[in-house]
Amino acid sequence: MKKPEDCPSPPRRAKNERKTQGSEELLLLERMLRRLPDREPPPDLVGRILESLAPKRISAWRRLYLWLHTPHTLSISPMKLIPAAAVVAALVVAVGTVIAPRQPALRGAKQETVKRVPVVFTLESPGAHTVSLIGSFNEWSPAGFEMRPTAEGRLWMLKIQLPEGRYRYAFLVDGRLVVADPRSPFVESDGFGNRNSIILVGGDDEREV
Amino acid sequence: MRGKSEALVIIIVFFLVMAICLGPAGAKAQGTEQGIAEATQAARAAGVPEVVLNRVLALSLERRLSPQYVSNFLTTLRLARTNDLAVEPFLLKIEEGLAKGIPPKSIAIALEQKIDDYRFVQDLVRRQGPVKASGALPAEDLTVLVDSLSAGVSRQELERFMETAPPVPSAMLAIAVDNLALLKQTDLKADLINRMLMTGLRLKGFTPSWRYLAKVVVAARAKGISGEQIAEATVAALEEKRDLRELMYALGFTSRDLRRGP
Repeated sequence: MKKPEDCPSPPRRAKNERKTQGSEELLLLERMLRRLPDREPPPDLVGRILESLAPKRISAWRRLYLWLHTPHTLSISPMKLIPAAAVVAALVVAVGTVIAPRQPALRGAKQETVKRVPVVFTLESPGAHTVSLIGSFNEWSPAGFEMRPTAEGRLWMLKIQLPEGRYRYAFLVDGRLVVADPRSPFVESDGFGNRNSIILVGGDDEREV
Repeated sequence: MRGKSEALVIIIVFFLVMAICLGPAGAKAQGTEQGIAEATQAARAAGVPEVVLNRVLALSLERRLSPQYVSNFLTTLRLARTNDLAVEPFLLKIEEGLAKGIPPKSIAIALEQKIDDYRFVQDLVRRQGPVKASGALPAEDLTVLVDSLSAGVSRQELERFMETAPPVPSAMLAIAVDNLALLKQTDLKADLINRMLMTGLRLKGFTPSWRYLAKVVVAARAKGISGEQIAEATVAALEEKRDLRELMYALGFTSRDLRRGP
């Protein structure tokens, strides 16, 4: 009967076998490497290695992040502040007088529940560059009521939804020429020397004026 | 010494920039700011709604109107209120004129004309209103009568029509006068128009749907129906207390036509 130290347990024996096998493989690999022929390194090897070691470029966002997290000292003299204040004042005036008034007014807020009827306005104006629809239904403002030319460019069209009622309207051609609708049977004097057309909107669908 | 001259240059540049930005508008505004403020205050005191005042002031900025005309517009609105008139038609007329590129001076003249038309109709209603229109005319009905003067009805015609019309509620009178203005633009003879309208008034048959009578007449004429036939059918419908849709059926319109109709 063998003693336990003379006869190793199965896991221990397997471990010793793997160790011996690994050493033999290392020796074999060393011999193979020694038998390899000597070759000169490529001429740009050093350059390529140095290039790969060069510091990478930081992104703009990262630089901004770092700048924002770094304390800075800002010194301002009142005299140098005046031109900046002038520019800010000019911007405020420009926004107040040009941009703000152009914002469309809220219209027809009370008419949300009123039944609306689709109406198609058309005007034949072949030479026109722009045609807008203005009338008592849009407070005579052409913004948002620009008509679109058909493929041939002769006929201009716009379809809108109107509550039932009586409206006066006209077409504004190229932003300056006021044209009454030649297809409307009803007109009125606008008091400025032009004519407005009158439309009576009723029923389910006006289709076309 | 050098620092002082630099400071002087900076100050001059600052004032130049401010002058360029605020320049003409600022100078003018300062000159007549008080006039606009006074006109605004007077209009507000007369009862012109704040939203209307804001709209006029916003338009004046948007269109770079001369403060003189802004004051003029505000005065017109004040006059409208002191004459118990609705200000919305006047605001719409200002917006219409500006949208069409009409010079503010011409807009002011058109507003004066409109005020005069309102005074004429108010006077006409005052003389005949208690009998004809069953009391004071609501603003929307008064506006319909005034608008008829722009749509082809002369003052004399309106006066004559009011004289011959039987007493009716103001809404029916407004429907009749509106139809008078529009039917005059069709090829219907005056006596046929008068017959239809007076029948409607006499029988108090002008319910709201009848405001589209002129449109039906135009559609019927386009179908080749004679004026006499249209008048006959209209009078018959009114005598039988029928509405406009039934008149259209009587004139031979199909349901497809009705979809496009009033």
